[in-house]
Amino acid sequence: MNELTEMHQLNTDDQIALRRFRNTLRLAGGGYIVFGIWSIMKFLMMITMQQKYMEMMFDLSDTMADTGMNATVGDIIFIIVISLFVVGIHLWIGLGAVRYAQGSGGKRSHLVLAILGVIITIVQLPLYFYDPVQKIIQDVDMTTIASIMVDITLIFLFFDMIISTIQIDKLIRSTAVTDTDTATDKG
Amino acid sequence: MQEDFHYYATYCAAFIAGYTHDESLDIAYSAQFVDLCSRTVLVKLKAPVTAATTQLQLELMDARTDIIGIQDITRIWASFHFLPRDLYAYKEKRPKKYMNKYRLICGPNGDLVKKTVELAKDRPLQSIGIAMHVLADTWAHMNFAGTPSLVINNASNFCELIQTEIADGNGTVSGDETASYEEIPLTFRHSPSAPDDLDGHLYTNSLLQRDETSIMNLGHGRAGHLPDYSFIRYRYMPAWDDYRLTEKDNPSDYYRAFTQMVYAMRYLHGDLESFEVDRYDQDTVAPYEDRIRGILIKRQLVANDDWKAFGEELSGEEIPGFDLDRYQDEYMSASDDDRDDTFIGGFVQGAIAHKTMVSNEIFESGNKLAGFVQKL
Repeated sequence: MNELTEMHQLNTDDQIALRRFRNTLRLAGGGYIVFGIWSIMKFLMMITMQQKYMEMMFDLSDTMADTGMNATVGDIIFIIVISLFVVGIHLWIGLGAVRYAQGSGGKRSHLVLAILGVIITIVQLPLYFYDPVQKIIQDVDMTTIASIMVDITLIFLFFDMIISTIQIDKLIRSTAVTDTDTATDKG
Repeated sequence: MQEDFHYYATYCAAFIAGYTHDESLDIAYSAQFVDLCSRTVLVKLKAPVTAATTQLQLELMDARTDIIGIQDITRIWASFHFLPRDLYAYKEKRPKKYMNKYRLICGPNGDLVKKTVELAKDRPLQSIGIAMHVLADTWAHMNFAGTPSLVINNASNFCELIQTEIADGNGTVSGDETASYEEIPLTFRHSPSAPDDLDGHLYTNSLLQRDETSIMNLGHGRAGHLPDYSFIRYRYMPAWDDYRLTEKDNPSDYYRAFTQMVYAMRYLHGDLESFEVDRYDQDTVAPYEDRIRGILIKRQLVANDDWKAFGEELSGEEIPGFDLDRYQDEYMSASDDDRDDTFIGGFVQGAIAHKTMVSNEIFESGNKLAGFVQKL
């Protein structure tokens, strides 16, 4: 059938690749925002169910009590602040990725944080098996395995984000690829 | 497609092809009845439910989406509304499960269109109406499949193409390829009860459901009613096409559907010896081309009035509105032995024959999505 517009220019290999990477980045960004829920759950489980972290928090509470602040209020404030920080990081990275994928955000701050994120996630994987402070090998149970698998998924997600961002940037710069198809259905 | 094309335009095509007013009415009624002959109606009539040619929204809400349910849904929708273009299509590096769905993608001028028209030869007018519905829908519903599938039927990146000027300057409305187009992004909302806002480019589509076999991913739900509006030209990205954009020129496609219907019905009327795909009776339709194209490009939700007026001018007779109950008393009051001789009885026979043919072809191609179907 005859083309109404110059469709062949919209379906070059570079244009197709650009759409593919934008879609991947958008999904990765959205996925990382949802991962924020997991991060908060992990944090809450850590401070409420692991003795050493509970003690750390009580020490902090005691410090706050010395200043006259109620210990329970201190605990709650501590939890809220950390949770907001975790959510904030996830939103910053995730929304940044989604905006970049949609072509509406020029900055790539999410890329730097994603690189940091993947490094931190990889580095902390061995800590599931070995505690360097107490120098003991940790017990690995089913919950630990589940956490490890989730973190591995997160690593893949970060790599998706990083590679997609770099490829999008490369495709836009290297050819005269116009941003004609960032218009999406809002539904 | 909607009632404007399945009922009124089919009447016009039948009359132009040489059928009488009454014959054209029977053909048109049958073509439109395909969109309404659900299990609910058949149960009410005490007719065979295997003749169902559609499923109501309430029926779909209760439909199972396990393999049995999927086969039931596919038998109906792939047979009557999304006739597959190529049951032996090939796409590299795809598993069988994906290819089964990919091969159900609808499109015009496939082998099944020829079989559909030939099946209606020397059969009652109801079978012709069913064949015309199926043929017309291959043009409107192309690039979607009659089976629930996110990876096939999902679509995004919609924008409407509004013709801004005709390059040849002669004012023709033929969708000349040298015309220029303005691209306007479309917005979808999820409000089935609200009519589409044509001026605001605000349309309704089905909710995005990431479950592969969700009912929301059946047919062209993700594109809303866009395929059924004859006036619209748009660009979008179907999920199955690996991030390629596709253009849909409905005025042009609908005109081809009309001329192909005339060609098919001239064959079924006995004026032509054979029916071949990708052939259109442009000559017979030529005197009416401007009138038809004018109806097709008119920006309106439903074009019933325009097609009706055209049909009545053609025949000089009044075309009654479509009445779902018209032939029901005749069927229900007939004895068991005489039911096949009633109008709905003829439709039921034609629907079963067509569904069996298509489902058998799908089965014979090695695709189990329409179930195990033996040839009649």
